[in-house]
Order: sequence, then C-alpha cells, then structure tokens
Amino acid sequence: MAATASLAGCGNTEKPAESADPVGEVRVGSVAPLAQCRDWIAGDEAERQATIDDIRNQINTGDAGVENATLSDEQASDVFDGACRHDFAAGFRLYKLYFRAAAFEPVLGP
Amino acid sequence: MAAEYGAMSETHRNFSRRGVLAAIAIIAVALALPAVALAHLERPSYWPDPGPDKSVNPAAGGEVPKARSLSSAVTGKGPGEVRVVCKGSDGARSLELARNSIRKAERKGYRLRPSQPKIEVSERKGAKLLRINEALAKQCEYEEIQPAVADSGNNDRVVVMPGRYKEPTSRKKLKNDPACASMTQESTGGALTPSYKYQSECPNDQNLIHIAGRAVPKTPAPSPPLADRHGIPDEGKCITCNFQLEGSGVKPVDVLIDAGTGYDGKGPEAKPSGYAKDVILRIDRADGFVGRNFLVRGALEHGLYVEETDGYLLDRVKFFWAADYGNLTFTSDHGLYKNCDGFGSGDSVVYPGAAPETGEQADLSFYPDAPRINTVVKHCDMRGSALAYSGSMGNAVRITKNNIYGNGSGISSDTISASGHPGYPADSSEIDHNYIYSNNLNLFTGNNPEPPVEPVVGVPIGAGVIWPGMNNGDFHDNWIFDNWRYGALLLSIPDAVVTPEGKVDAGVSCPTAGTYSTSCNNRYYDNHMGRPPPDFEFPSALKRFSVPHAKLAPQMPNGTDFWWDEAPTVGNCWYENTGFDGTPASITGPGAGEPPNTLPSDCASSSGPGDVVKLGMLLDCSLWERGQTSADRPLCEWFQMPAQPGSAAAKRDAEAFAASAERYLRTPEAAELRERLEASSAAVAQP
Repeated sequence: MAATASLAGCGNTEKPAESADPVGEVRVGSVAPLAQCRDWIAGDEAERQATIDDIRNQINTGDAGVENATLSDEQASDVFDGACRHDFAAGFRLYKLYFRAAAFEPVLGP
Repeated sequence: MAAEYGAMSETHRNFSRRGVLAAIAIIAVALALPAVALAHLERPSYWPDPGPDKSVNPAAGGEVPKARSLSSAVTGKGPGEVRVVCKGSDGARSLELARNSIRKAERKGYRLRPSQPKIEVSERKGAKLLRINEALAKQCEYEEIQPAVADSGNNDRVVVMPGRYKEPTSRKKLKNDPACASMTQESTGGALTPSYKYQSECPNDQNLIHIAGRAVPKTPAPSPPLADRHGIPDEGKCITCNFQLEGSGVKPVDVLIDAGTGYDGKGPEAKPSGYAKDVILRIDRADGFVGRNFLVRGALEHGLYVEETDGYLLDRVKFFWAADYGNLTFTSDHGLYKNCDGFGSGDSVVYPGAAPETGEQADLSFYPDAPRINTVVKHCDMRGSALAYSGSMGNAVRITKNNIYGNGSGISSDTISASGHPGYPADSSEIDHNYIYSNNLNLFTGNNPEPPVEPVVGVPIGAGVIWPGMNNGDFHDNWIFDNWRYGALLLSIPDAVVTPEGKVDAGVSCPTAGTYSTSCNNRYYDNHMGRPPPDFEFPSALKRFSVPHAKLAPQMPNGTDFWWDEAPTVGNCWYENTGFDGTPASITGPGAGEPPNTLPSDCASSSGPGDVVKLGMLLDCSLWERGQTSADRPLCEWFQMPAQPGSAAAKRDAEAFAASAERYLRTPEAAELRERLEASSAAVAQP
C-alpha cells in the first residue's frame, strides 16, 4: 500500500512514467531476468512502474496459448515492496517474486 | 528475521481474511512456491530430436557421448582436430603449473570432491600426464578458449592446459550490443528474448564462451512458438557436434575458466565481487558435447549452461560462485553429470529444467524407447548454496550417489509452471543412494551477519528434499540425516494454480486430474533416516560457511523424517524405511498438523485426508512478504533457523507450533479452509 501511495505522489523532479527506464541490469532490452530487490529499492516511482511493466510483459508471453495470471500495478508494487523491505531479500530476483504472487491471483483476486 | 518486522499491516489483515475466504484450492500451491527455484527466463525452447544425427560420423546425440581420453589428444588419430589453449610462451606457464600440480598430487594426492577420500597419483601416472602436457604445449596455438572453439567443427576438441582463463577478448565484447538487437525473438505478448541466432552471431554478448553446435537456419524460429515442444523447429545442420572441451591438469581446478571480477582472497574458491558476463560457458544445440576436468567460476547468472542439446557428458566439472545456477541444463536429452562439485549458488548448484517427457507421459512416436531416464546426476557434491539441486518440470531425471550437504535446502524438483518450461507435470524422477545431510545453511540473515552466499530466492532452511508436485517418483535407498527441519517433503499443487506451458501430453497421471493432476503415486522406500552411513565423516567443506550440524554420532535425527501435506491426492506411500534407531518404528512423520497424521504404507489404498493446519502453514509461508511480523504468519517457521532436533529448543519450538496451530484451528479462517478442503476431498473421491 505504501508503494502505491508513493507511486501516486510523484515529485516534480521525477521523469514522467512513460520515459523512465526500468531498474536493474538490462539484458537485450529487458531487466526482467536480472532485476533484484536492491534495484527496486533504489528506483524512483516512474522507474518502478517501468519495471513492473517489463516483468509483466516477459512473464505473460502469451506463447503457445498460455496466459499466466497477472498482477495489477498496485498488486505487483505491494509484492515487491513487501518482500524487498527485508534486508535478507536484497538479492531476490523480482520476476520470481512476481511469478509466485501471480500464481495466487486466480484464487485470491476479486 | 523477526526483528526486522514492524507492526502488522492493513494490507496483511485484509489479505488474511480474503485469503481465508478464497484460498483452499490454492493453498498447497502457495506452500510449494517459496520452496522452488522457479526457473529462469529463456527463449522458447524445444526438446531436441532424441535420435542420433547421422549427418555426422560418428552420429551425434541419441545417447550420452563417450569422452575421448586425454592421451588420445596427442596421437593425431582423431576423429577431428585438436586445438590446444595454453598460458605463456609455448605454454611455459601452463607447463610450470602442470608440473607443480602433478608434483603436489604425487606427494599428497588430491580430493576430487570434498566428501571423497583423496586420490593418489603414482609417479608413473604423474610422469605420463606431464609428458602429455609437454606434447600439448608443442601443439598450443591459442591463448584464449573462445577463438579455439570458434575454429572448431564437428568431432573436434579443445584441450586447455593449466591456468586461469579470463578470456579478455570475450570480456571486452559489448553487452546488449545494438548491432545484435535485430536478432531477438518476439513473443506473442511482445516480449523480446535473445534467439539462437543472437547467441550464435553475438556469442560473447552474454557469454564468456559460447559453443554453437548447429548452423543458424535461414528460417527464423516460429512466432508464436509451437504448442508442441517435441523437436526443434528451426534446427540447422551440425557444425560443432561431438565437440569435446577438457582441461589437461591433474584436477579440475587446474583449469579455471573465470568470468568473475574483484576477488576476495586467492585460490579457486575465492569469492568474486562482480561478474563480467551472465554465463561463463554456454553449450547451445551442441549434440554430443563432452566437458571434462575444469572449473567455471563467477557468473552473473549461470556457470555452465546446456540448452536444447541431445547428448552431453559433464565429467569432473566444478561450478563455483554463480549468482543463480552453477549449472543449468534446459530442454536437453541424454545427459550425464558425474564427479561434479559446486557451491556458492544463489539458487541451485545443478538445475536440469524442462527435462524431456521420457517418463510415464512420453509420446512414443517421438520417444520410442520410453519410458527411460533422460538425465543422470551422480557422484557429485552439491553444497554451500541456497539449494543443491532444483529443476522445474524435472521429468525422468535420476539423482543418484551424490553428497548433498550444507545448503539451505537440498533437492527441490517441482511442477510449478514457470513461463517457458514445457513438460507439465513433472514425473518419473528417481532419487536414490544419496547422502543428504546437514542442509541447515541460513542465508536469510540480511546484513547481520552478511550471508556467505546471497540468495536470489527464498527456500526453507533445514530441508533435505522437497517435491512440490512430482508424480510417480521413486525415492529409495538414501541416507538422510541431520536436516534440522525436514528429511523429505511431499507437497501438492492444485490444478487451479498451474498454467501448463506447451502441449500437455495425454495421460496426466493422477486419477484426480481436474482437482489435482500432480503429487500422486510417489514411493518412498528403503531409506535410512536420521542416522549416518557406516564410516561416514563430515567433509571439511561444511566448515567454510560454518553450517550448523550435529556432532558425528550413530543417531543424527532430522526434524521430521517424512513431511507430507496430506492433501487429497492418491498413491503416495512410505514403506520399509528405517529411522534413527535403525528400525521402522523410529521414523518420524508426517509432521505436525491435525489428526490422524497418516503416512500410508499401502500404495494402492493411499489417499490424503487433508489437514487444515498444514494448509494454513503453507499459506503463511508462501505469502511471507505480506506480513510485517512473525505474528502475521504464526504457522510458518521456514525462514527461521530450526533448532537441533532433540534439543530443548526444538521441544520449545514444537510446543509453540502446537499452540499456534490450536489457536489457528479456532479461527473463522480455519473453519472456512476446512469447508473448502472437505469439498476438495469430495471432488477427488469422485473425480
């Protein structure tokens, strides 16, 4: 929830969301395979949003008729905030956190 | 960890209620999820044709390749050409290193794996090895490995003389080179991944060394990918099949292939502070590959990566300090790892994922010799990592005669359908004759103290083996002891939470498909639990990360020998196992929960009664990030260091859990869960 609130409260110095780069090490245009909690913590609101978009896009490939469950921006932000606030999770890959949380979505979602 | 938590959040309270109301079908899944490696992101991958490719002579693939001896590299007999890589002018530095290593081995012997006795090297054998190296030095034309690989063709081999190979030319290659950007594959959803063409034509963009086994075809990979993953649709002709890469030292660490930077300390086990490349050695569609007698160290992702390959042998290879996987093998067939050793992985040391469907669900038109094991991991030490072994969709893999110790958890082989992982559900694996012990490494300490290995995934501390979703598995003749939380776990994955990738073959094995397609018909037998084998000694490698373990004694119990979620699945059975006193009576299981606490021995009649406490525990553990304090997840202990079994602290922990469970059972959430569990059980009873 806190992350959602902060996402909404953009500061004047932040780049617009549409122009922000996602956080984490890039591989061929995507941070999804390598982005970690420490990257999330270091990112600003717009970068975090771009990161969620990137990870969601990579995980939900739509290939071979498969549609993996998705998290909304708010849900994904909550998951990353909740996990990444813990020091022990600094190295956790964000896509693994996203995937696990998304697996619950069909059951726990509205 | 609890000290890092603050007050319970509004989010968690809302979630808890919602979760109770909604979640029974998910629960088992939830439990399993934090325990698994959850794979990796990769291009859409296909299982290779399992038959031999007779366009090359000898044929490539179709079986595990046989290694050619080192001595045959200097005879000129072939088949194929030999290229030699060395250090120093005319190999002088490599020869010096070889001499020193041989002399030391002659004097003191050497240990191939920390758990094994030293291997003695006679003067005669040492002299022969030195002569071979002297001959190799005369043949040496390369200072780096990648150029020698690039010059190689079918049946060729590259011999690397002792030394540390940092591959400066590869290191300098641009990562994410814009010139390569057009060679990505696009998924239906628009996500871009590097294609086979990308890896082949920009080999050092991500990889320190890349071996492209087949030509890049003119026809691009199908987009969207095919639902049926049998056969590589854009497979080119063999160009580097039956290729062998080997070190010429006495022992694997004599040849160090190194992608790390900024090492803390010296020697082959030194820890890097950074990484030059994502992958150290990538073997791509290289049927008939043999890798032998070297060490890969320091990867941002994976140490040694085998992808879409039919026929490979990794013998005497070590994997140190890969941030994700020491070794990753994906959609590859006819594989054998033996005499390997690895530590320092943030995920697992060894990961054979999306293994071919050669088990009970095999398509016999594609795998006419099925059922068969497609991958064997044997005589390996897997240690000092978040996990020793993992593998999403690890179909028909055999893990045998290994030493698995000093990790957060030992083995996790799962049916969690990570995107891009064909082969649902995992089945027909065999775990036998392993020593699995002292997997009590706590990597979840944050900065107090900093863990020796940074985990990239959460796993339970103190578990020997975890099977979330395996079907028709054979688990036998293992010695499993001193794992302070669990010896072996079996968890269910409800169908509601899985998303199979690619075509799911007919014959999903559980008779309860529709509710539970996974976690049935697993057999645990003839295992020795809670005591070490005769003449056992702890390997000194356990000291490196100060892994908590019991003192060596005839009885070294696990927290619980066999933990089962008692979900309404069928055919799971435990029989003829012995516990810490050598008798069946001392087996512990199925773990704390509700009565009747069954651990069926009769496979034919076995059916889980369901257990609300265990489901609640799994839910608490799976959604750990939603709580602020341990009070928000009272039933989950997975991420706390377990107390040594039999200690007063362990007794206190058990009493505390029982009290938590009792409180939980009085909650409306537990009542709701029970209703859903009963409905689920009824559905299973009448599928």
